[in-house]
Amino acid sequence: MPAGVKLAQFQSLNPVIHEKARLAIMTYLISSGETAFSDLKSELKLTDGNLNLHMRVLEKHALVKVRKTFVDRKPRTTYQVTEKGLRAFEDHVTLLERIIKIGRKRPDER
Amino acid sequence: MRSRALSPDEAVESLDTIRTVLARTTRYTHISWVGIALAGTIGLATSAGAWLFDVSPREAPREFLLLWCTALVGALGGGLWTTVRKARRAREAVFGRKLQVVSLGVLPSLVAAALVTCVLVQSGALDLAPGFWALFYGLGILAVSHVLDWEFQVTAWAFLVASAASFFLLRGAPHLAMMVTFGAIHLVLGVFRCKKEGACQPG
Repeated sequence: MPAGVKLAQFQSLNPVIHEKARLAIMTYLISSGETAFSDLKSELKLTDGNLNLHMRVLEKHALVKVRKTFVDRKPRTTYQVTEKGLRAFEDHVTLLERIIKIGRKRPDER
Repeated sequence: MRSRALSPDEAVESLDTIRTVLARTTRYTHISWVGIALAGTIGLATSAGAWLFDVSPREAPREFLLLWCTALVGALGGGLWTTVRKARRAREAVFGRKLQVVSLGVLPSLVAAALVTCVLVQSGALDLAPGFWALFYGLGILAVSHVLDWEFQVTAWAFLVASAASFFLLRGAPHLAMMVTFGAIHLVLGVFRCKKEGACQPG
């Protein structure tokens, strides 16, 4: 089994996105566009508190933007990936592919 | 957030997470095999009943239409009920974006089928209805097949082929045409989905 690739080697690897639930959230938002909190919760099977926590982290790092509106006098929160979030996601996937490629090479080829 | 060693296995796991979520966002999986099999059973029973009591589209167009409208309501109701049940069991949104995509995709074909049926009734050519219904139904499924599993695309083509057969080979046998299309094809799809979902394992 090849040894782990040191995270420090990939300075641009985004630890905010790398967390499994946040990676799922980012993937969902990128493929579906603007999505309501309730839809994210049911589609990704996360609890209110858990999703809230992850969304706050993504929002803090400006990877998603939040929009709060009222529909039939009820509050509705929707999320959308920002340009920065999209770039960060693309970079993250590229890096994951590179790590896998390095892992598949023989030690003398690395 | 601390720096740590990232193994290729973790990278593979991350890409798997992305793949799983992407599959979930693009695939509509709430159509239940029970609903499909129910539609097939209703189709078979209705066409057998119409054949038995000689409710022919030429001799008794009103009765033929009423009979199949009732069957449609029954099949749609059963389909909706089983879809809601499957979505709830999976703890997923029932009336989410994907159902909207499927409904809006199928709608034009249903409207076209209704309009053509009206024209056929007015012109006294309701014996062509089984062929047109199968044609529009197949086109409706084909319109949304990109969000459904591959067997739905095969089913859509089966309806289109059966539609051609209804027009050219079975025009004088509307009950047989309905039995093959809305009965047998649905039942075959239902059984296939049942096996695929692991609900019909032998033993």
